[in-house]
Amino acid sequence: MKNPDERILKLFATQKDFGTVGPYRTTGGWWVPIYFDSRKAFSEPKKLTAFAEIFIELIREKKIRFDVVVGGATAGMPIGLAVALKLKKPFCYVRKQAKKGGLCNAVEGYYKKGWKAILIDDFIANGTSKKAFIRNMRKDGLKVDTIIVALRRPKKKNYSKIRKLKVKVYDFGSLDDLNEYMAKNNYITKEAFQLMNWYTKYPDTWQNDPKKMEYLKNYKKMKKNSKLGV
Amino acid sequence: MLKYATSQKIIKTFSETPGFFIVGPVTTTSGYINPIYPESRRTFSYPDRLQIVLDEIKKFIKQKKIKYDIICGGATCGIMLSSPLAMQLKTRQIYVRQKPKAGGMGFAVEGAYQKGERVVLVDDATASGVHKIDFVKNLRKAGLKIDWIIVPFSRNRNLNSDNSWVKKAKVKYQSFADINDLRKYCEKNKIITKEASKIIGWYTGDPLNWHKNKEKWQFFLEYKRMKNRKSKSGI
Repeated sequence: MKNPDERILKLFATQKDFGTVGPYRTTGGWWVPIYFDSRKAFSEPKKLTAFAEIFIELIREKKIRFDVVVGGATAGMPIGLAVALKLKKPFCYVRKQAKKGGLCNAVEGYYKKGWKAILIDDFIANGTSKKAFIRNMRKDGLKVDTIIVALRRPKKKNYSKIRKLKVKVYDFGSLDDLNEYMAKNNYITKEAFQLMNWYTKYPDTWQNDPKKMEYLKNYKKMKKNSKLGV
Repeated sequence: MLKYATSQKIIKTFSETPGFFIVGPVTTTSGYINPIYPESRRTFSYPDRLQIVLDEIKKFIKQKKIKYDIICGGATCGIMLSSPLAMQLKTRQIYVRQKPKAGGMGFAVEGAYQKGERVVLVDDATASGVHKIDFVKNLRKAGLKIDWIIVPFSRNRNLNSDNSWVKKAKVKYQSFADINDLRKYCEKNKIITKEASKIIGWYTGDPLNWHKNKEKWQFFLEYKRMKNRKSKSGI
């Protein structure tokens, strides 16, 4: 299986209104110049089917055995469900924090202690959420050593937060791969590509450079001749 | 008073799910003290049981000729139903949170949609309806039209009397069963004991106050201590 997998990149790139010009502040406190909303791609039934089929290809190729598919709440649930139902396997979801109230579960749904699970999610950044998911799954009695995500944020696969957890992470490319693919195929402008490059390289400092902010200002004003209009 | 068409298939599917009832007491997110808690997520985990529920919802949408552009799930559990439902109806899916996400883009509605599009909201269950009101508010704020909420079952009280929130939310509402339907089915088919059925009945009759009655609470404590409960589920 190729990495990056251009089929996955294309599924994102062809999503209507995929990118919105910012800048916006992310949950991690970073300033992102253009926000690409991956959840939109998981909205479309045809795209979600295609995502699921590619995930299943990987599961078969790597001969991953499991009893239950667990989706990361919330964004990982649609893709997790699509994979589970196609393979006729039970589905559960996992929260970062156990629910306050009700049964106070972190893993929700039917499973048996000792079952082997795979964790499916949309993205991985440095692994903070995944660490919480894996810990909660293990605490609730599931065995899990495999994570499958559509894309990873870092170029290199060094997820400092989950190194000690002994899990294997499969992905279909990085955010940089997606940016390059979108620029190469004119989904986004060269200027958008430049901005996204600064962002992925210096996520927490790029906005402090006045030149870069000037570039963003000009970019916002210019006419954008690309398929996605960003 | 509204009348709901209950679904025997859904009652049976929930009732016969292993581990559907859990002995509590469980304090729900709505603040009720629930002695014997129905755990519908377990039903939705099984592909074949999920399909029965989905088929009933699909049948209802068709019968009522409900028009929609998008199927929306109530985050989080409602997505277990809404996502596969949307896939099977070959329509777009989104989900809605009770509160906009803290940080990030701060979206309450996630996914691809256009203003003015028509949404059917699907959720796992209804208790007091406060969550539904939040969902509806957030969907309308995002510019979406919502006039139908569909859930497989109502968690509390009596289906036909517990719907003041429906008016408030200005929506049409369908639930295929209430907890009393499940309780009666389970008792009749010896899935749960008579004692459990009695306790569930007290709770559904007065979820806010039942536990303040000393005799009832004592009965529940004794029930909890019972060994070898003579029912198929041991509840």
